[in-house]
Amino acid sequence: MLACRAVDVVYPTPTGEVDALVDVTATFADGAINVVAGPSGSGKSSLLRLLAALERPRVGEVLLDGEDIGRASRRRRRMLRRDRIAYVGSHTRGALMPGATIDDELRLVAAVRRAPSGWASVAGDRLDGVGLGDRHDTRAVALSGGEQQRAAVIAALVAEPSVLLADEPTAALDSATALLLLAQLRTVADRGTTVVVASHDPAVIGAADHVVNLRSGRVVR
Amino acid sequence: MPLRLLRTAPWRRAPLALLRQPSLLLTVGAVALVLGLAAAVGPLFLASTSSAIVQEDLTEGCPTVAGLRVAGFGRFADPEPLTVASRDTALRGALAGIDHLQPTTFTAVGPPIPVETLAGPDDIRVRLVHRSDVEDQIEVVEDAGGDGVWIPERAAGELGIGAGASMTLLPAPGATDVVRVRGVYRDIASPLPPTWCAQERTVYPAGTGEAPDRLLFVDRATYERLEVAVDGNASRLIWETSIDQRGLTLPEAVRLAEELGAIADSLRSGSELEAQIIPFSAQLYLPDYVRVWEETRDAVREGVLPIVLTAVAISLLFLISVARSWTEQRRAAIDLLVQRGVPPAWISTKALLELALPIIGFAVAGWAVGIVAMRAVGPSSLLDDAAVREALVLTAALAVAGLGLATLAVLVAVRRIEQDRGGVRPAAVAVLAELGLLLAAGLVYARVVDHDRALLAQRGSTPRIDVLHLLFPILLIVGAGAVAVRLLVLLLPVLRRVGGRWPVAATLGVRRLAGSRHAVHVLGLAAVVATGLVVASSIVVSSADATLHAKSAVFVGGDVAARIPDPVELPAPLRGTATLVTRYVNVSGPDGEPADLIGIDPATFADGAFWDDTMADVPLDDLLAELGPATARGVPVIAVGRAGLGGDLRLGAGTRAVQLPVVTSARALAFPGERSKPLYVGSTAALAAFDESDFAEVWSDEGTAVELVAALRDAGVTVWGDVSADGVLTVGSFRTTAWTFGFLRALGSLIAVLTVAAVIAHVVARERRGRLGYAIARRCGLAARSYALSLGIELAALLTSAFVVGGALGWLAAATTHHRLDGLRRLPPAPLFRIPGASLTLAALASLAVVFVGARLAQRSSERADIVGVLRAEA
Repeated sequence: MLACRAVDVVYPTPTGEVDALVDVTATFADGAINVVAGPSGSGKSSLLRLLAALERPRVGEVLLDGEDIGRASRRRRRMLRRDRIAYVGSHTRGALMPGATIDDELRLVAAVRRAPSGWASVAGDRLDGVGLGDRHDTRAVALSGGEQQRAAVIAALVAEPSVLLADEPTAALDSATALLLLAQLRTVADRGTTVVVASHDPAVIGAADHVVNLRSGRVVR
Repeated sequence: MPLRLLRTAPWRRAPLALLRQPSLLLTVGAVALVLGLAAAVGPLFLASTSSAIVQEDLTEGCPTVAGLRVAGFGRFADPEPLTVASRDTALRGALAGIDHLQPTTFTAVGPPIPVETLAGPDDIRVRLVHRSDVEDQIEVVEDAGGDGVWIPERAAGELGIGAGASMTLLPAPGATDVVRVRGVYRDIASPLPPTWCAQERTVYPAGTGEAPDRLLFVDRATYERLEVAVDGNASRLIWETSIDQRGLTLPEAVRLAEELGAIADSLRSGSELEAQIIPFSAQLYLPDYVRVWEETRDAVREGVLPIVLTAVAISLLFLISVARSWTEQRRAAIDLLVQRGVPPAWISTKALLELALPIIGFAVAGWAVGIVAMRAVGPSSLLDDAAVREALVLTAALAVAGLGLATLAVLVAVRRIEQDRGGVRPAAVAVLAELGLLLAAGLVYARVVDHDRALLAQRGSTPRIDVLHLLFPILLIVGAGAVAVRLLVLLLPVLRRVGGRWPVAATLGVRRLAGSRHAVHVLGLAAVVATGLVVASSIVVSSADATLHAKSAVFVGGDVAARIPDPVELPAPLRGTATLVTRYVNVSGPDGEPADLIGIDPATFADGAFWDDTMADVPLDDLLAELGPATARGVPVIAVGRAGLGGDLRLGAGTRAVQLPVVTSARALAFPGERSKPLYVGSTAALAAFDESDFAEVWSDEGTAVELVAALRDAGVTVWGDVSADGVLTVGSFRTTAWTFGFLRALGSLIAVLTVAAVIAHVVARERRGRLGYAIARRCGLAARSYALSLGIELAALLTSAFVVGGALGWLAAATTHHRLDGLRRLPPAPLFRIPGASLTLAALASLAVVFVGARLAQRSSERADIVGVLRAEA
């Protein structure tokens, strides 16, 4: 179970501090697609980075199976990112290692997460599933933004993390391709993975099992 | 983290990854090259200076004195086994196989022999000398060819004979020996040429203040015949083996000293060799030379070490900066790896793999550049192999250390990315470090003043640069420069606000400066430090040069001087560029202490004498106007330096002493012709009325000594010797100063070159990042001309501020230390302060021009870019 309790995230800027998240409490169900929805600047990405153990809250708790990962040591948070939490950023460019092919990317993630044997065929099937079956050896620079996004999500799924966090994964996709990706997300959610997607895409929100709405850094009903 | 990560693409491809980023590769390469150069240049510079010391001392000094000299009394007619020939063979056999030795020269010096003159027997005597290869060691004036003797020009004139004539020697009462004169040679006189410099006793048996002896060079048979005829004391037999300094380095000189020392020792120790040479003595000064050379090298090393350490430290700081730049350029990849839980240590390992080849490769290239540069512009092109190897090892070690430091810098940066916050703010640490440097400069200066330290501390026989005098300018320039630049950077937001009301180009230039505060800070500080070091060291070197020249010229009188027996009227070609001076020896001051007295001609003195306005409180013309004819009170004189204020001078000694009443009409702090004794200067005419001078000198401030002597001889004037300011004071103290501060200037220049490259790289990188902004600005109506002008305003503001601040700090550092800059305190004048304004201004303008041209070229690529294409690509 992934949850946050009364968290505040504040960013310092040259003109003063900006509240990115204010008193946010939310629970993200296991084995379900959870969507964090809201307009641009509402704090979706900040919440995902918080859940991905990439940010620390100023106050509040971020709980993963009862462990407050917001207060965990740097080493522990790194281990969680390596073993349990997969995060796909919102930038279409830079979602993959520069200069690497899709296969390179998959092997890198597999090496980092010590993926069990057989991961390659699963990943291959998933690439087929999102329409990238024939692009294994293509370098990231030769892929379109949408292709990079899909490849990044498939790479994140190598070694079957227990939490998948994807920030605007369909932003650069046409509706048909977005549906293919959503089908993959549904499959992994059905296998017990906690999927959290930040999006304002109606198709994604429509496919969600649970939606958290954010406005100006606060949860709204 | 499993080692299998190393097999994945980001690590596997890392060693050649920089090839795909030429700009980063060039930046890393440039910094590593400078690091390698900084590391290598220390041992290479020491090797070069060591060789220069050896070469200069042996070339300008006396290689014969440094070499092995075996001498004693004997005769050609000595019985077996100790004949001249057997001794010759034994000595040459012992020296065979030793490198860097000239062929051994043999000289036999016999007694003076009277010569029959046309007017009958007179007191003209010639000294019998036989010397191997003599024709190569004299300047032939006239040569009739064939057999015969060589007579000096002065004797030929006195005897009224020339080449091909006969002369009658009177070796013993009632005995005559007629010899044919083969030729006439120029009198051997001071300064003695290299092959004669160890024979001062032969040339001047009565002392150097007297006329040189008339040496009659004869062949061996004539010598033996006359030796028997004279039947007096035995001849002085001398074997001289000079050092062949060509290609001789200090380590080789050390080895040579050991080999020759072993031979000299064996000549004193009852060995077989001694038995073959006995009873002759061996003299070898090379070990003493070597000791002085090693002391000078050690003195230079003490001064060079802190400079090298500074250069290495600055290079390493640049390398850390490059590592941070690597982190920024790899930010996307680092973010991905951090998101995936890859530890910072592994990410920094990737940096290590990417940077290893360029850093080590370019550092080694820096070592190679160092060798080439040192051979081309170093004090000497001779570098010994051990130093070259040591430089390579040091370069490799520092390259590895630099690589480690860069990796560590990446590790720290990645940890900050991973952590995102926390820790002490770097700016606070930097401010504390800058204030610490400034405080350290103050403490060093206080210690210098408290202990009244001179720039040069005498230890052993070689003056050494006091390290505190090197640390002070470096600490002052870096510390005060850092604080000044920080304050200037704090003004940037104000400038940005004010600049908003200025024309477009100025506004844009100011906004760019304000918008890249970090870059402005780093580049501004680098430019300030480079300028400061170049200015300070240039002033010190120029001042040292000027001081050395002034001391030399004061010692000589002018740039060149010739000694003649009696006062003469200046030959026409020398009028306007020379002056005649008379000298009196054996002078006592009013206090009875030894003093010097010279007579000058006020009308022509300024034409040929050296003068610097710091040498007196009044202009030279006013001083000279005080010299006039003798009055009832005495001869008006200028009292120089420690010379007393009143009382009579005493000329000569014993019964021939003359009292000279003098009136001090003016005083000078220093005066041409002044040496180590108090000096009195009167007019030649006034002094001549009291006593004849001992000899005269002609001083000139134009041309060479050879030209001066030629002009005098052409006019029929006998010249006893000549001296030039260039050669009189090539002493270790000034060498140490000039080389050490010259090295500091090279460091400053190196940082300047690096800064110029960094500024251009900064503009290039910014142009690449800012293509979209520029495209939009062009769409909004920004004129290309305004854009170019803004770049000029930006760079001019940045670099001019740095030049002003750095120049002021450099001047301050030099001004506070230069008065301690005196390698020869006992010789006047006091240290001079010289700012090489023209060359510094030219260097500053050249740097500005190079930076502007480089930056403009980068900017033009942005201007030529297709705006629509850029907008589409960047969208």
